[in-house]
Order: sequence, then C-alpha cells, then structure tokens
Amino acid sequence: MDLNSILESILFASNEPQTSEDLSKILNIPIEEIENSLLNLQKYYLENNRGLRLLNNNNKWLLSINPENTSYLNKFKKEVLEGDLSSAVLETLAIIAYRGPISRAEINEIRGVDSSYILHQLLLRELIERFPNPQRTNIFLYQVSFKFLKHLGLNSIKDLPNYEELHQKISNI
Amino acid sequence: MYQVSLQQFTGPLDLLLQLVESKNLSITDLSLAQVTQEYINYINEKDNINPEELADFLVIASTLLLIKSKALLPSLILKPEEEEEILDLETRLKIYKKYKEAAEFLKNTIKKEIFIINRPSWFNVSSSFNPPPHFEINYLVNSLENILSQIGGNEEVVLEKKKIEKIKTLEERIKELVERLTNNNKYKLSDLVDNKENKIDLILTFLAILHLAKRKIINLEQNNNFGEIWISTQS
Repeated sequence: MDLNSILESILFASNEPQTSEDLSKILNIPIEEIENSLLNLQKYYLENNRGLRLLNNNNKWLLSINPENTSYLNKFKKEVLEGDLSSAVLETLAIIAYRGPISRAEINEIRGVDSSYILHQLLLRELIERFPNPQRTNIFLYQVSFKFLKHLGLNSIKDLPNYEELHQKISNI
Repeated sequence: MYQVSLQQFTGPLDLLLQLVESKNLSITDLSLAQVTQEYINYINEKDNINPEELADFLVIASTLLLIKSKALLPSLILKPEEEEEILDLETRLKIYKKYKEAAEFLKNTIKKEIFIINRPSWFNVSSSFNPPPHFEINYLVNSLENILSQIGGNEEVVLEKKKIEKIKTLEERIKELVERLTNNNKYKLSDLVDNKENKIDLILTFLAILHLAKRKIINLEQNNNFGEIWISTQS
C-alpha cells in the first residue's frame, strides 16, 4: 500500500477539499501519517514542476492545477465553451433543433456515438435546455433554449427553414 | 463414432471452433474435414435454430462438405472460388478464435471489478449564455441534411421476396403413383405429370416409374423414339 498514491487518487477524483481528519478516519490511518504523506505530495508536485499543486488551507487539502498554467487552461476552456461549434457539436444541436424534445439515448442512436460530453457542453453554453420527461421522470429531454431561439431571431422552432420536412425525416430514423 | 459433448454454442463458427478444439486440433483444412460429420449431426439434432441462423449454419456445412470431399478425393480439382471459400472459412475461424479469447479476457477483467472513476468535465464551471461567435441558421439545416444523407433518410430497404418451394422427394412421388395406378389399366406418362411446365415434376415422375418398373410393379412401353411412354399395371 502506497499512501501517497491513495491520497492522490482520492483528492483527484473527489475534486473537493478534504480534511486530514476525514481522510484519517475513513482510511483508518493515523492522522500524522496522513499529514506527512500530504506534505510529501505537496513537495513532490512543486519540486518536480508538475501540472498539479496540492493546496492546504486551514487543514483542508485540495488538488488543483499549477497556477502558471491557468492562462493556457482558460484559453482552452474559452475555445470549448465560447468558440465556434465543432461539426460534432453542430450536428447534435441540429438534431435537437429539428427533432427535439429528444432524449440522450435517441440522440446517441441517431449519431451512433455517445453524446454526453457534447450535451454537457451545450448546456453550459445555454444553447439547449433540459427538462424531465413527463412520462418517465428519470429521463431528461433536450430542446433548444429560449435564449438561443431569440438569438437566431426565431419566434418558434418551427420557423426553422424547411422545418416540417426535415422534422419528419429525422423523426423517421 | 465417438461423440464429444459440447457446452452451449453461440453460433455456427462457435460450434465449429468447439469441435476442432475438443479434439485438440489446430485450424487446418484437414482438421475441418475431420469434424464435418459431427458438425452436420449437431445441426440435425438441434431443432431450435432460428431460420436466419440456420442459413449461416448451412453455408458453413456446405463449405465443410467441400473440404471433406477434397480430403477424400485427392484427384478432385476445385474451382478457384471454391479454394477461396475454404481459405476464407479457415481465416474466419482463426479470427473468431482470437476474439473469443479476447472476450474471455474482458469477462475476467470485468469480474475483478477494478473500475476507473472519472472526473466530470468542467466541474466547477457555471453555465452562461455563450452563443458561437459566427453562426447562421443555415449551419443547422446543412448539418441536419448531412446526417440524413449519411443515414439514408427514410428510404426503406426492401428486400426482394422469393419463395422457396417445397420439393417432393422421390419416395413421396413413388407413393403417390402407387396409390393412383389402379390394376389392369394403361396410362400415358404425360397424363401422370401434374404440372407439365414443371421440369422437376417431370423428372421426378420419370424416375419414379423407372423405379416402379425395376421393382416389376409396372410395365413400360414405348413404340418409337421420343414417342409417348405407356405405363401399364400388372394384375
């Protein structure tokens, strides 16, 4: 058992601050050993100039990124969340526009690939919205958001070009 | 002949692979020739094969018979496409074996229940309206039409319908004739064929009367070449 490795995994996956008390209690390892190991990790990231940093604030520990890289991360994030749509994202948006409200499973079926990440991206950009399916509340349905409709200058999704014909065709799939 | 008992098989290739492996043979045309009979026995005995699968089983059985004929008759010269068919079956079987082993490996790996936990993407980003900087409604239309053209839209694939007619066996035809021919009577062959347009019917009837004549149940007469064949029953 390598305590450094265990703590690193927990802090990475949980992605929120953890107290050394909690870690000690749950892992059933003395708190001194936990803290010793966390300090080792912290030192390791710094001395080897890794992309991660272990922050310690008032006995809470959070795994975070190297602040020197923040500007690159922001650039990347901006491109994904604010830039032009990639063809895969556009495709998903088009399916939702002409076929919505539609479930994730149906989108996946039409596209033949998993669309979870893309849907998350479109939700974050508020181009689409989701609501529970009235028939099966454990399933979400996706449709184009009011904000995006307004942005396109449309009064209704049915004002999309060639809506009736394309809606019919994509619904037949 | 000694019969190996097999576990459940999942398809035609699986059955073949299990037969070859149960004899500790490697996949060669020789080993395939050895399991041909057993393969056919298995298909005969298994009565719950669904029709779609059955076709696959039969295709492989026919290739196996080809392999076996080649093994039994060294003088038999196969057409290039038949040679190819044999090689193709060997290759498919070898590939199937690899995937079956890989599936086994995956199954055992999943059993160990070592799962990797991912972090959700952009965990701490809150949503805000961020439309793409360059966007036209036509992008949506074009993208959708693109999808439809890739999938083929609502065009249904209609397969040509063909019926397979049940073929009468020679035994059945002989039985029919025996029931129909009454004692001390004379018949024309052409009157005994129900459907003269049907060649198979004609050939079957002809073979049947030859058979009956051989067993001395009927007499045959033909007065001149290509003339009418007369059938008379003996009292």
